[in-house]
Amino acid sequence: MVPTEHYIILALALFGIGAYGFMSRRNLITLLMCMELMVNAVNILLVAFNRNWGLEVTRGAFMQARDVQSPIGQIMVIFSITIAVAEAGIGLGIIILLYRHLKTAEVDEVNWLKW
Amino acid sequence: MLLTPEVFHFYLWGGIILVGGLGVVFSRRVIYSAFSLILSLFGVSALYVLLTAPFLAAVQVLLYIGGIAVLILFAVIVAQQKGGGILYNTQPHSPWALLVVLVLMISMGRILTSIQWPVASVEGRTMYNLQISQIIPQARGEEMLTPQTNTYVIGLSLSRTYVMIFELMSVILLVAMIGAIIYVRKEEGESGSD
Repeated sequence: MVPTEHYIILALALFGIGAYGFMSRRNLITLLMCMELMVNAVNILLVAFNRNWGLEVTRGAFMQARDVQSPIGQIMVIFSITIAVAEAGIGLGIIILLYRHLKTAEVDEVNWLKW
Repeated sequence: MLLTPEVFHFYLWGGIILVGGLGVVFSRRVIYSAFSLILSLFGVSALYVLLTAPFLAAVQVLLYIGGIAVLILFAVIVAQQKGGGILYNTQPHSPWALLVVLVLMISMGRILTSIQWPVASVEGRTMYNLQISQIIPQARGEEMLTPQTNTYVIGLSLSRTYVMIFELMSVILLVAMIGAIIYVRKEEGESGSD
């Protein structure tokens, strides 16, 4: 069994890659993809912790089965995937709207609210 | 650590995830970034299998790769017909971003790895490892229930304990769908030139 620390290191590396891309890239679609990378890093952490801690967190969630591992981390991941889907839909809508008005998709050329 | 198949696949798919993530960040064309994102998401799905969450692995492939990645690809394709400005990335040239990320990762890594995470006992916890016969209550002289696979447990708790989260997800998806339609819809009297 791979220890949880290795999953933590992997998730940190993936989050760092996504954060670096988010801060250094200028294309809006690439920014959206980097956000998906960061969300996936957190999801890996949630599932890895669920494997270790699931039994203790919500044992009382099940009436009959006593030794069933609680899937609270996995349910949080499902919730986060739903949020990511909604975010991708809204984000791509905004990107297409910006592109229709400004003919660009670079973040630093969108300066309507500046000054 | 012994090179068991689990360890081997962890490093294999972990490397694939990191290579895909680097491809997303450093690709010159946006379409290559999207394909690298698909590679990385598929690696995450394989890690879910290793983490004994097969339902999440299926959801990851269906929703992330089949939904989000294809949506991004469609956006790239739609924008491609209107001109080339959206298609190319400039090379990242931001040492400050690198510095911030390095500080963040080193500090978070030191914090997260210095904590002694409590490890629960392994007894009775092998349910996800396809050894269902060990945890079927009949084996302990209790009443026989439905075999508790991962999907069964997730569905049970989504409809019993965490039903509020389930309803909230539906509302969020509905609001996001209506919002996206209203965003992209053309206004009254707006010219339909593009």
